[in-house]
Amino acid sequence: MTLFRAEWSRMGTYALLLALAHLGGLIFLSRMVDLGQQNLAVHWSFGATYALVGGLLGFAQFATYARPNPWLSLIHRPRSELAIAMALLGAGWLVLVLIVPLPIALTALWQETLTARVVDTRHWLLALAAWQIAACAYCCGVFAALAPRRFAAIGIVLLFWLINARATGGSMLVVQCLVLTWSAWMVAALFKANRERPRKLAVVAIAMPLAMATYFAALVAFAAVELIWIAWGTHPNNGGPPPGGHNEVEKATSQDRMLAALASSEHPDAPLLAEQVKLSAPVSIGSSLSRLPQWFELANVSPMEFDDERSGVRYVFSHDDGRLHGYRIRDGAAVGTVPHQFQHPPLPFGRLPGMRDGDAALVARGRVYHFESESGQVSLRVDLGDEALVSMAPVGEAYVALSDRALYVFDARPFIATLDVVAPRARLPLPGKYGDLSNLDLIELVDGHLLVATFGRLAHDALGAPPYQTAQVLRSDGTVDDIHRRAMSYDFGWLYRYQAVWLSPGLYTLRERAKYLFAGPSLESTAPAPVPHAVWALAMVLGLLAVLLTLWRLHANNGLRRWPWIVASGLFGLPMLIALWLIELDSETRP
Amino acid sequence: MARTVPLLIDIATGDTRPIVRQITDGVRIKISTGEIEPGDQLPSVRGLAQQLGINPNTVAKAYAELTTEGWLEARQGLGLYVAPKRQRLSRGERERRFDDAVQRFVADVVPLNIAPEEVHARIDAEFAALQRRRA
Amino acid sequence: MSEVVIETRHLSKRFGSKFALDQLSLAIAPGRIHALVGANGAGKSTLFRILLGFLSPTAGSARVLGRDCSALTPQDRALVGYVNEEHTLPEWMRVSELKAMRQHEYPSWNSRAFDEVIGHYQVLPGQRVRELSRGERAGFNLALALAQSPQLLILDEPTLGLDVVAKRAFLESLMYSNATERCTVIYCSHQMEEIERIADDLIVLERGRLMSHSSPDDFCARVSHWICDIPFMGPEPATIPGFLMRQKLDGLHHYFVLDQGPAFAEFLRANGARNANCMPVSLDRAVNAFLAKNHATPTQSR
Repeated sequence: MTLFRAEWSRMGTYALLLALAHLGGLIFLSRMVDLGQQNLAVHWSFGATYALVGGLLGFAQFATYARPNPWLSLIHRPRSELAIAMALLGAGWLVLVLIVPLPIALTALWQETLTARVVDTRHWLLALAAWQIAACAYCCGVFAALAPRRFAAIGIVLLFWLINARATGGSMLVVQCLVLTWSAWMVAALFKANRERPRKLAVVAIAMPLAMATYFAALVAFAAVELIWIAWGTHPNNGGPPPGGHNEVEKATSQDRMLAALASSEHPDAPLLAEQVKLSAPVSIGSSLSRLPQWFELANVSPMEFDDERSGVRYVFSHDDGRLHGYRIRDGAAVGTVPHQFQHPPLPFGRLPGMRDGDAALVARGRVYHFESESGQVSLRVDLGDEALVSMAPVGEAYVALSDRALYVFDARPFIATLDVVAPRARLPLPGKYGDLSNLDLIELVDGHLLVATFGRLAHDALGAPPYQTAQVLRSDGTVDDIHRRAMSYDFGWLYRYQAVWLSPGLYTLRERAKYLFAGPSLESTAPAPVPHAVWALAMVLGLLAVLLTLWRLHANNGLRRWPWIVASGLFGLPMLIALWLIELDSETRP
Repeated sequence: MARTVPLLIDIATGDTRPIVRQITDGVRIKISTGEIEPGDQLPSVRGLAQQLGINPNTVAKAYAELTTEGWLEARQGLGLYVAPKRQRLSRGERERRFDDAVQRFVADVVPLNIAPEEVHARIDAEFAALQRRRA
Repeated sequence: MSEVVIETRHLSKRFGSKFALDQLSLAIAPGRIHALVGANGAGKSTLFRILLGFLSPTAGSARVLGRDCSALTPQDRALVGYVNEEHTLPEWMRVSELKAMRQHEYPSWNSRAFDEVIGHYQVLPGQRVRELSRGERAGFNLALALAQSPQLLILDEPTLGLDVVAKRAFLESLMYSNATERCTVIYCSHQMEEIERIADDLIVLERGRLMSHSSPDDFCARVSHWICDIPFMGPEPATIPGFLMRQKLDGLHHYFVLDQGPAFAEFLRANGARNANCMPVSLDRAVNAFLAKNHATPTQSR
């Protein structure tokens, strides 16, 4: 189509320059580091840059068309509006192909053919992911240029979705594709001669993100009010958290936390244990993992490579064949692969007892492997089955490992003596969901360990379990003594904790669904407390209010246009009402 | 075949007379003074419109008026020609116009303080010159 | 072609509390050049935007070439040309490229019309649009618009900001192009001498209302200028039939009135005028008086 070519001729030169700059940047960075093994934060900064480029391109391209006269000249031609939109967006997307994925693919090609670095399918797919991010931001930029200023910025909601989505690998590509389609739909909804009103059906494309944006804005406003409250000095948390609550415990030292858990216990051993706590130095088991590595994920949780310093070889895991590939750090020459094929993607993970120079520990979901530098072989040392190991640390003579479901105690000696699988000495199932766990503190007893688990990580939020502490003794023979379970009080009222819910239960559900759409197993699952009746009642009242106001707002319209809005207001509450108000507020009704 | 005579008239925008009137007045004077003669071909509508920088429809309207009044005649497929001389105006109209012209003339001349004899002599001379030109 | 090219019925457009168009009923017959005159803010641009479907009316209906303006198809758009005062064209394109693009887009492209108009200007095919002068750009835009063989061509103050030569060239290429004869032209301008030269039909808009729709000559004839000598205060404007505008110069009262015959002299005498003289007015003054009617004029000293 001629319009497409015309638009291409407008941007082609700049696109070429940007593509060359991008390629130069990638080549430079590849000289310094292995771009294929960067962690999520690095990928995010790359993604943000591509999104910025895409968004600016879209905005700049359409800002020139958005004024009344150029818009008239653009649309007033013997072509349908959507054909014009396709020609212009197509040109923009093609420009983005040149700028974003092409240099990435060229860099990948260079790394694949001329270096020993690992280039997996997932790295090639990064080019597609980068393009989808840029193209989506591009559509949001176009929308920002074309839409009335009062809701021009709602594309941010879609980009926010991209950042928060928990899907990985191919699933994430599908999520991106969905978001891209939605953003294009948003542009199509407004790509018409009269931009004051979106297309009839496609108004959904704008109303949903707009309602969501209003919802987020309200939550941000709540947070801002809270900040002012804190600055004012009358916030309940000012000058030390209230006693008996979860905040007090979370801010305390390990020792105080353990004492707090025992304080109200009527168990006969409790006073003695408290004495023990006072005498010893408690150990806090923290997690070193925020997310579990997934097969074919586009970005690593952390770089999947480790250096065998003894032989000067760097080993990199390849998702394509599930093996470790080595190359010499000095000159980059390949030194072959380690034959073991992993069942889950492994991550380098501290050290095991009895390791020598150049050895490395690798954790792959519930399994811990020992890489032996001398033999160049990998052997399985710990197998927890389905569970995901998140932390392992020496505590006195023993080794304590934490999975997402239980705590294990290992003897250190078998690790040193053999290269076999070591069975745990004792297992203590976590008395709660891993996602709720805020602290895990323990001390060594004469014949076992005292463990205090604090569950209150999300007690300020609708997702969290009601906050509580447990104190348990895990004996060397594997038996468990429950000493005490103490409920902590909430530091915040339900109005605060459930603000995201009562404001709009519909949007809250939608937000959570969108976040975990196509996502794999997660460490974030919690055991949320049942929603209080008061929250539902408030949500119902607000929903009803929204419906009534919608009825009043649309009293002049006929049924066909009214009913969808009324239903939407009922489902999504006040934010949808505000969305309706903003969309319907055109030049005629504006004061 | 008669050739097209140049029509040396000009129009002024901002005049109280509409452009159609300015053209008809101009052509009438040219014919009356003998500057263009019966049988002469007038410029085409388009030609005159371009010459004057105005809408061709306006010229067409002026030509139509002149044709109706008998000043011009159309020859099928050839164009417009100055019609043979005859009395083109009714007696009453002629009187009215004459009256108008005299009133205007007197109003213009009286403030100049010229003796009536001088005025008469001058008018006679002008008419004599016209007669000579027409002859 | 339908009987009327543009037809609006009780067309109103409200912006907030202000009406840009107020119950406008207008019918424009096919053919010829129709001039649209009105003060700034009279609603001309709003009218065009509604006619092309870029704004939706608050009330009433608008049809172009027999089609409701909110449902124009690409085929309809091919038949309606629009040229605005900015002469918005893609700056980065070359003249030849843009011409080729339009030629491809418009099914009944008329190359002769294009060449005829562009002949008035020295525009080279290799030039980029941004390198053209204002006048050349206007001419190029007009050439493109006429070559599209429109049935309706809307020109919104196309000569704004052009110098005398460019303005003349523009008007000539518009008036003497064969393509113009085949379409209806709506010409919107503030330049009365332009309108006097080119318009067959004069439409006067004021504050979104249709004030007059006739030939320019008839419009002129409707307005008369009376000068009289009234020793005292003149009659109140509200009591004057057909009152448009008044001025008091050197003790004489000047009245511009609409549709008043010789009987108006009687009215003036009845109001104490010692003498009353009538004179015709030029189009410029007629329109000026007409549009001044509702404008605030300095109040007369009492």
